[in-house]
Amino acid sequence: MIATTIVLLVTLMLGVPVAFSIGLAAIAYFLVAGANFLVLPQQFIGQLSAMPLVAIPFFILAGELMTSGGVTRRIFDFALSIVGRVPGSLGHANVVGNMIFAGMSGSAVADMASLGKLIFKTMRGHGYPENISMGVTASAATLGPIIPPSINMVIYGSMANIPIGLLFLGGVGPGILCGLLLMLTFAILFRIRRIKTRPIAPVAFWPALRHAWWAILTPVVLLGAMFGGVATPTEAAVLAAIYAGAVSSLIYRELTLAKFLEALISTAVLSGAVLLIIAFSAPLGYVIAREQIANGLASFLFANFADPVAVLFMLAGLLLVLGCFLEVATALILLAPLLAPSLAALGLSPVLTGVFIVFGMGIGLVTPPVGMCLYVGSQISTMKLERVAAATAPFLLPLIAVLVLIIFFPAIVTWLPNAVYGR
Amino acid sequence: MRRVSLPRILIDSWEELLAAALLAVIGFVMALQVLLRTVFGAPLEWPEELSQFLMVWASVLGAVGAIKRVTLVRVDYVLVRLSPLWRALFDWIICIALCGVLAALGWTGWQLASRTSTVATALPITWATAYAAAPALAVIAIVRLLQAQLFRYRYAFFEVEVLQRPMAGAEDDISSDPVDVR
Repeated sequence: MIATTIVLLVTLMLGVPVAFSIGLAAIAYFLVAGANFLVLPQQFIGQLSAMPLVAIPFFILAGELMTSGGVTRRIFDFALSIVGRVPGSLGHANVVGNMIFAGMSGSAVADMASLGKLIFKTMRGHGYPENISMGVTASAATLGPIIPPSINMVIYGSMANIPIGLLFLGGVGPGILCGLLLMLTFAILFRIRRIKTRPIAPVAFWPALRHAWWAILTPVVLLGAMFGGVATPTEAAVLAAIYAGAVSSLIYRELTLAKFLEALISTAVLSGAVLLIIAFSAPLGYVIAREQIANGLASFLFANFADPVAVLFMLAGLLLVLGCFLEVATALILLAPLLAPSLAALGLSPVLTGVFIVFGMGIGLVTPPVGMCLYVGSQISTMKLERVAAATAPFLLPLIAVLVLIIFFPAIVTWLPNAVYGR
Repeated sequence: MRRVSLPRILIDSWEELLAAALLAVIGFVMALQVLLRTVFGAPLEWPEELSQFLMVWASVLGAVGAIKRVTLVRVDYVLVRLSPLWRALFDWIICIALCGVLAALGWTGWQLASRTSTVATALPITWATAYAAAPALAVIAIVRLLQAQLFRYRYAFFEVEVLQRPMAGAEDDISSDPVDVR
């Protein structure tokens, strides 16, 4: 197991693609421990054929179709119609827009590259300083993986055998709370720094709602299909993609055949990259199970941390540190088989810990050196990465605050799943 | 106007085009299943299993597309700080490591596929059809990796050449043009 860990860390640091680092680590174990090599393809293919993972490409496709189909601009207008009269309205519209868009795309990077780019551009055009504009844009994008649907929750749920629908419901509370605290942080910074901006033309609420209505309905269709007993989470992802395509082409009339093909190819490539990591993580999961590492971790936690609050604090620290160095999906794939059984053994709710881990790792999207939203932010703004990271730093506070609040008030996560399922 | 011929574009992009087509088929059969189950109360037996098989192949072909586009997730903190000479050396080492992993996966996958005779529950095929994706991934990905690394081959991607999508990194520079969208 030591050889496996060393190979994993060294190859990751040297820049070997994550999927292959994990594959190399598993192969190192098979060589050293003399395990049966046929487990490698068996686990690899077995993982790819897992039904919940079929949801991943279709959530990606739904987001791609929405972006190609002119939804972004309509959501921005609608967000502005809600908060347009508040001082620093574009910053607040940024957060509100991301909260709505998160209900369709499920990916922070997608949110940042589409809606984030549009709003950042508008903020800069209206005299908002680059730093605060980028800070709020990057941090608001992290709402993508927490407000359902969430690709990261699909990944974690399928790796840890937790119902994805419950994780989706659990993400609603923290997502809304996070959005509100991000708006509060922006309002405080806006006031303290006495920012002067050019006024923005008001957007009427009802026309904006009418234009964005079909797009806003996406999460309702998705969650309604899942919890109305019409479709499984995987089928709901397919329905969401079909709905996104229908709205973009038939109602908004902005999705051409070329854009559709482009979205489909992009989805195939993006999901191929993600699923390759997941597939290679299966043999590593076998190694973890064979070496009984999860059991060892559970015993360690039992022996040293009697209090669930202490365990969650330690977990929060671990997630924040790992988030700095690992890409979020990768970390979730590596952590799920290790942490889920250990935390369940401690009596912690799998939904609570699942949402906690997905959210905690999601903060890593905006922490250097490996923060995907920081890289996208640098790309869309031409600001240096260091500046983007510094601009985002004040907005880390509300995100971490929500993580701590979940520890003391688990109902933030569990109230909605409990309300829906009556537990 | 296209800069390269259609046959070359298709040869360079067939993996992701096939992956996209497989995803479209999965979407169709799953939507059909929801329709038949909820509206007609007559679900089919095979859509889920077919989706599983197709998903395996769509994933490995999509992964080859990601390898060709160099979009696999990696921690490049060290890599981007190396001198060009060291970077070139590391690129070779990484390429060899990738080929090694793929060769191991391909060889063991081939053995597993040739030994598997378990028939699928609802389809008249064996699970060897799914396991065969491992050696297929290995062969195709190794060829593509070596094509790029040895010959510095530039792929003609379908979405760039036919659908006219700008190459990554060639998008509009928004810094030069702050636009009032109102």
